[in-house]
Amino acid sequence: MKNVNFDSLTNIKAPDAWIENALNIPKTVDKKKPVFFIKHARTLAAVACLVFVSVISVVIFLSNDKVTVQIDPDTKETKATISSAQTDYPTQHNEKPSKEQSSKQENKPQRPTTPYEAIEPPEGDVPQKPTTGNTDTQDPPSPTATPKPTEPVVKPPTDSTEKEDENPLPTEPCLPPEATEPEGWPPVEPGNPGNPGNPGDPVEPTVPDAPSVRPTEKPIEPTENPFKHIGLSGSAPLSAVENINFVYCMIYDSNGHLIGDSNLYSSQHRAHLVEIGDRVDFNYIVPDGLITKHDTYTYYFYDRDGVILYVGTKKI
Amino acid sequence: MAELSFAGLTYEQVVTKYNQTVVAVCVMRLKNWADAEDCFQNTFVRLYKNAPSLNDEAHLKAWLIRVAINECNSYIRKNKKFLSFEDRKDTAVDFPYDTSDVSWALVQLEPKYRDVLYLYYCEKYKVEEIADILSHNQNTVKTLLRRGREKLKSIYGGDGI
Repeated sequence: MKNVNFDSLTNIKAPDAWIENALNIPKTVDKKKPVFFIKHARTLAAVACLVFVSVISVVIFLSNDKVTVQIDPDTKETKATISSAQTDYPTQHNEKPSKEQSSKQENKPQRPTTPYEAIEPPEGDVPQKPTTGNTDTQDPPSPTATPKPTEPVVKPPTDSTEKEDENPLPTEPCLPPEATEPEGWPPVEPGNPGNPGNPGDPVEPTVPDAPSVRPTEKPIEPTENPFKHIGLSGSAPLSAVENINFVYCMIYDSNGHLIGDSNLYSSQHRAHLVEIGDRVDFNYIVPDGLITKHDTYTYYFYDRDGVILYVGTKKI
Repeated sequence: MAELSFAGLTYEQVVTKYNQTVVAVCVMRLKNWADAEDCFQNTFVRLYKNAPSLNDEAHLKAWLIRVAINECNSYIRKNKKFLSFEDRKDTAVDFPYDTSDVSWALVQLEPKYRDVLYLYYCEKYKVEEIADILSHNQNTVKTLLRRGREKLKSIYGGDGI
């Protein structure tokens, strides 16, 4: 039997370069990777996706809840610096404020929201009816029951807990509030007119950055309920409202009762301004629920100083 | 970082001691120096990266052979569409023709016979060890040995090994 071998194969030698390269492997190859992340990469990715989606959902959920700025109708403090897209306005107005809130209000005498009943207006500041701009005005309601057209009338604060009006300089867009029930409002004393404000008082300067045009976000859709989305409008020459940032609207029924907030300078009374050519239109959407019966209502558009800009009536 | 240990040997010691075994497997399988170098390096890369816990050097050697064979198989599988070993004669391993040294005949066998004969005659493994390394049945290894011998004889023209 022939004796054969495989010497050339068993004695084969690796080139020195191969051995050197093999010895250099620890220097070039990365160290051991974390095996856990390699073996469970898909699981980790799935878990990470779930966690991410959950976090995003929670954030969206919480943000939707917190974006809404709740304004306590009783404290009537508007956080004007909150520039939120969604703002809820008070829907209830008949709750009494707490002691703490009332004391807080009393400690702010220099705010422009001080009840104007407490400030004696100078003689020259008596609101006057504009000579133009209210061509279709009608006589205000009976003087015994309604305020004078040139003097917006509010009930003087009979209770120490009655609140001042809101901050007159909110940066939020004035949206029509969703007010529903004005029950419990104290009646307006017809013979006690007040001055809505005294421009000579040391008040904070008004910031003229508020847009004069306030588009209504909610389109007014005709509904079967005639007491919903009631719109009041008026107009005045542009010169009459040249330096006016806010225009307010107050409504009295045929009995001379004020409709809505007794604070005539609250956001509830704020009207929208639309400048058209040399005239300015006032638009005011009556918050739902304030008018609940058929009647002839008289409404007044007035500025911050109480100057009546427009008087009109509307039969509902 | 602590130095890795493989069956009591450092990485450098393993490379120095078993590089000949690994290169023989790679050359026998691929019959080309360039390709064999890739598999040679990959084998030691896997040794270093995986750092298998081996009890003794016998297991370490078997592990290296197993990994080298797998690396060669995967290399062939990946490159069979792009490489023709016939066209790479410049780096082909040339075993001299000899009537007693029949390595040249061994590399001409089919891989399944080649592996078994190499492990049996060159590395001196037993049948059960070969079966363990190649993950074969012992009877299969015996059959491959018998048929491989016959084919080898038919190639080199001898009467037996």
